Formats: sequence, C-alpha cells, structure tokens
Amino acid sequence: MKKVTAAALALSLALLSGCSGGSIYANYREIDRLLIIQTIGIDRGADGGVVLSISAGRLGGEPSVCMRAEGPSISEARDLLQNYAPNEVLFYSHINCVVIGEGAAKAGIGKYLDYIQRSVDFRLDTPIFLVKGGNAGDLVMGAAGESRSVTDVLESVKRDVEQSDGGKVYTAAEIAEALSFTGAALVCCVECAAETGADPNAEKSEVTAIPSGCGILMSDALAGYISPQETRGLNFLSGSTGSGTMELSAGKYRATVSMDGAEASLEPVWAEDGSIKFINAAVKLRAGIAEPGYLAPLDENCLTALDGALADEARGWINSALARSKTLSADFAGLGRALELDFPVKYRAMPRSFTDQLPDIIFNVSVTARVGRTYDLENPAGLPGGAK
Amino acid sequence: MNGREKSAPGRLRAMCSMVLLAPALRLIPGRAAAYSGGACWLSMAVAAPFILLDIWFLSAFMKNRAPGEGMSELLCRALGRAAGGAVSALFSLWFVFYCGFILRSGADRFISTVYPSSAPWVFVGVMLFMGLAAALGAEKTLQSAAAVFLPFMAAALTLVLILAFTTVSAENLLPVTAADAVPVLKGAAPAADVCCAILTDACFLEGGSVKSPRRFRDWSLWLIPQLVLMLALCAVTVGNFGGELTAKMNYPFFAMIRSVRIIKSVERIEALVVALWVAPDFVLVSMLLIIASRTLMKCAGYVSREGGAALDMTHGRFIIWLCALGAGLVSVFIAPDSFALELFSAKIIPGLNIALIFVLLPACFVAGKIRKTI
Repeated sequence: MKKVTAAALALSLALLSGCSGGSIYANYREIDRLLIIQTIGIDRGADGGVVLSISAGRLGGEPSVCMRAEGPSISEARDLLQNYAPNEVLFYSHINCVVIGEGAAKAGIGKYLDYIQRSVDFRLDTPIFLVKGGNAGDLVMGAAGESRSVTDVLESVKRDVEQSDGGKVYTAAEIAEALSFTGAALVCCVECAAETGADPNAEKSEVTAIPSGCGILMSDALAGYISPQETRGLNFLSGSTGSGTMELSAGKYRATVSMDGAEASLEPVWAEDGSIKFINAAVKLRAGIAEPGYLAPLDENCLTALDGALADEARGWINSALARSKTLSADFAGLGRALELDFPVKYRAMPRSFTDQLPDIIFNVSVTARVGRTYDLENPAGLPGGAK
Repeated sequence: MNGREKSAPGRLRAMCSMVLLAPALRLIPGRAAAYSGGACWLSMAVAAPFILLDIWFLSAFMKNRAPGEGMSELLCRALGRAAGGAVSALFSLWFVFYCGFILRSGADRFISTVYPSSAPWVFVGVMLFMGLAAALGAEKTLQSAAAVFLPFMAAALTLVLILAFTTVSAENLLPVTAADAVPVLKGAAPAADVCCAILTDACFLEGGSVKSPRRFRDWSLWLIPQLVLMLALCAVTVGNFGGELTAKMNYPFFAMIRSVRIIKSVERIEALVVALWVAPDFVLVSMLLIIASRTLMKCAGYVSREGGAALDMTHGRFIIWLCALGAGLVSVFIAPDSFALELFSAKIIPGLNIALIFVLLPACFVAGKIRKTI
C-alpha cells in the first residue's frame, strides 16, 4: 500500500510540472520555438487603444525581429502579434526595456504601469523610456538593424545616462512608487535621431535613440519635460555627477571638463507655522580639465575662471529645474522625500503637504566648483611647463 | 500516549518554523505595509511582546497537561467531557476550514505568480492528496519531514533575501518617528496573528511530544529567528518597492522575486521559488488535517492510532478522510475568485483566529481554573 501511495504521490507531483504537457495550464511552450522579446513599445492607438511594437534580440548574427500590431488593449495587441508569428511563440518574460510614445504618455501611463504590475511576464524593475516628440513604434522598428536591435540602443542610452550624467533610468516600480507617494515622477526621455547623422552609409529609415532629459509625469500623465541640462542640474542636487563632460567658457578661457563628483545638501528654513519658508541648497562640484579650449598655460587665473563658469552653469540648470517644479507644483525631483529623511519630525508636522507649499518656497541655490588638472598636467602638451 | 511514539519538542518547533513560512510570505509584507507603510519592518519587533504574552499564556495552560495530553485533552479536563468536547470539535472545524483556505490560497499563489489563467483545482487536488497521505501516516513522520525541509527552505530564503537586499533603497524604509507609533503597532497585528495561530496549533500536537519543563523559554527562543525572518521579509520587500506599492500588491514578496538576478546572468527564478513554497503549504495542510482529525477522533471516543494502511477505516481513521473531504469542499466553495479570497485573507480568517485564540481559549483556561480541574 505504501508503494501505491508513493507512486500516486509521485504522479501527482508530475502533474504540477511541465511534464503535464499543457493539461493544467495554457501557457506551455516549446523552448526551441520561443522568440524572446526584449523591448516593447507602447503607443496610443485609435479610439484609445494600444499600438504595441516588439523587438526580439538578435541570435546567431540574425537581424532582430520587429513587429507591430494595434488592439484595444495590450493583451489583445499581444494576441494579434502572436497571430502574425505562427511559427514562433512570443515570449515576454525577458523584457529589458519598455518604451512609451509621447501620445500614450500624455493620455496617461497608469494603465500600462498597472499592466506591468499585474502581468507575470513583466518585471517591476524594467526601465521605462519615453520617446520625446515621437512614437515608441518608430524607435522600436527603426532602430533595428543588421548588427543591432533597439534593446542594444536603449541599453547604451542607459549606460550613458547612468555613467556620464550620473542620472537614472527609472524603473516601473520607481515610477509607480513616486506617483503614489508624491503624485509626480520623472521618466527618462529619448529622442529618435536619424542614423545617417553619424553614419552616412546607414539606411535612411534607420534611427537611433539619444538621451533627452526627462519627462514629468503628474497623476500618471505627461505634464512636460525637463531638458538634459536641467536633468543634470537635478543630478547635481542629489550629489551625483557621473563622469560626463561640460563645455565651459569664461571670458578668454574655454575648456571641456569631465565631472569628478559632487556633494549636495538641503537645509530648510522653517516658518513659525511649521511650513517651509526657504530651502538653502548647497552643491559642491569637482571636475578636471579634459580638453583645453586653447593653447595657453592653465594658470590659477584660468582655473579660477573655470571654477566660476562651472558653478554658474550648474546653478542655472538647478534653478531652471526647480523653477519648473514650482510652476507645476510637482515634486518630481523628490525633494520632499530628501527633506523628510533629514528632518522627519518637522517635515511631518507641516501644516500643508510639501507639494502644496512648493510654489511658495524660495530656493537659495549656492554652487561652488573646483576645476582641477586631469592627471595633474599643468600645461597643454606642446607648451613649456608639463607635468609636475 | 495511546500507542503514539513521542517526538522531541525541537521537532515540533521545527515544524512550526516550516509552517510559519506559508502565511508569513503570503501575508506579512503586504499586510504590514498596508498598516504601517515604510516603517512596517519595525512592526515585527513590536509584535514580539504580544507573541511572548501568548507563549506565556499557552505555557501556563500546557503546564497542566499530563504526559500524552495535548490541548484537546486539556480542554476536556478543564470544561468537562461534554463542553470540552464541544470546544475541541469547534477547534477541529476551524482547522478544517483553515486547511481549505490554505489549499485555495496556495493555488491562488501559483496562479497569480506563475500560471496565469489556470484553474485552481489541480493545485488544490494535488496538495490535498499529499496532505491526506501525510495525515494518514504518523505525525512524527511529518515532523521529521519538516525538520528535513527546513534547512533547504532557510537556505533558499536567505539567498533570495541577500540578492534582493542589493537593490533596497533606504529611503523606502526611513525615516521612522514617534508619529509612526500607532501605524507600527497596527502593523504588528498580522505577525502576531500568524505566530499566535501557529503556537496554538502546536499545543494540539504537544501530546505527541515529550513534556518540556522550560516550555516558555524554548518557545521564546524559537520566536527570535521567526521575527528576524519576518523583519527581513518586510525590510527587503518594502525597501525595494516602497510602502505604498507593497501595500497594493497581493503577493509583494513573490513580485519582488521576479526582479531578482543572480550575478546578472540567472534571472526569472520566481517559478523555482514559488515551487519551493509547496513544502510549507504541504506541511501546514498535513498538520491541520492531523490536528483536526485526531481531535475529532478523541471527541468521538476513538483511541487514536498512528500509522496503519491508508484504506484502514478502523479506530475512527475514516475521520481523517472526512476532514480531508471537508477541507476540499471548503477550498471549492470558499471563494470563486481572488477578490473573494482576499476578503477571507484580510478579514474573516484573522477575525475567527483572534476570536478562538484570544477569547475562547483564555475563557476555557479561566473556566478550568475556577472549576479547579486544571
């Protein structure tokens, strides 16, 4: 009897595995027929529907497969796409990027975030890109070439944003959480650019993605943009610079500097009623000369002038981004959270929410910068001086 | 002892640790975050005194047991055969009902996390069959199986938590101020509810264990790793998603696993992890069937006999089949969809649990003391 029970138990366990051959659930898939989708693009279709574009990764030197279909919902568009690919099973469990078109973002991305949260195929840490002034489908379909896919392009953008600008490509979870918490969020923007701009031999239809600042989401819909410079200003304000470069010009001095690091602090000044009167933001930037703009000794005057130019430039970007935040009354920069972390008791005792106070708060931004000599090279090569 | 071989109390505690994993992973991060947001990790520490109070009460109750006696025998002694039998039978019905709920919610977890659009009945049927097979055997065997499973489960959970910890954002967990005191206190309720339920279940099985002279100390020490585990679960899940988002999810821990990557090369391990959680469900279902059937057997005047052939219906062993049938029926009729299941999970099950554990059981204890029967 024990043997019979053991055999029955083993059989019942087999029913729960893939050995069931599809008898238990409808998602059984042959592994050699899977077409692994790596990027999906979402655009707003006619009558509020969805235009879904998908791009599979390249395998064995084959060009990536791209498809597009329109349906009343993402699920139905997926079903339609599957109809177009009878020999393959479209497999969405390894999606690395989600691209959303401007039209869809203006209408609201809440339902797409909700879909990502509900679907067992998607991961909540999937980065989301917004196509500024364009459709996601154009990027997904147009960026596919013989030697690359849109996923390669977007992963390159992600590296660029994170390493050069010290910024972030926000994930579905981060956007959803920020929208829940403050009612506003940022989403990384890209612009479609013709590939012929960099490669004259490229097909005219080929496009690539160029980082283009961030989109501002308010109550899940696109409310505006901040420029790449303003985005960098916000990165400085959070103490992050990346290792990207900046062009500086101060009178007769010009140079390209590469950023080395930043320190930032926020100090609120509280009014008697507990609300915030001012916020003093202090940022210290460090950079090194990457490329002198002219052949002249890098003396102290030059470096001091460049220090001032870097500080002025950064201050302008930060102020511009904060002014946008005040105008929209949207804390997309997450300043409220940063203040709550440092001053939790006073923050929670405020008579009005931080977002409500935002238009009335005065920001005093002070930026100090120090431009050094990369590799301690005193003068440009070819001039007297050289390394110390 | 009625022919039952006594097991070490340590094995019973190992089984309880195993059983705790099932409701802890299903309930704790989401429910605690709903009450106390990003500060919910602190709720696990706040739950400690309440659970310790329950351990103290149960230890005071179980101190009165004679060798071989469990909670059901104590209830009969405290209240008299008729009233005690009725209360024991009520607890049995509760265990059958809870077993049916666990069967259905376990299936729902599979459907929500790995097998969308599937019917729950295969999962319910297989788990019920496995639980019945275990309940027909000796409870000591189940305790041994739990003791074997536990290190594997602990290792898997530790690995997942470590991997997920790398993406935790401190901003999602801090700050915590005095204003969080009440929400944190509320957030302690799910942890206290789950732990106290399992501690009470354990009392019904203590008749099969050697009586420990230091019961309070032993179970208090048992509580420490359980609370650390629940604290880590909350901290890692909420640290990844934030309090708001975590509270909105049905199974935030399993949603988090979807994003776990091992050295940027192995991903989508959630199916494996969800499948691993069959083991705690299996132990919990089996344990509930064992408690319910043994208690009902005693109420019906049968002398419990461990082991035996599966189809042996003598000595009241048909009651095990009846309990399994009852649990199966409950799982079929309890909730047509996950929304209805959520109502049971959030309101009805905790409410009934609290009524039985914190009202009925202390009342029985007091009655026994007044009657001087315990």
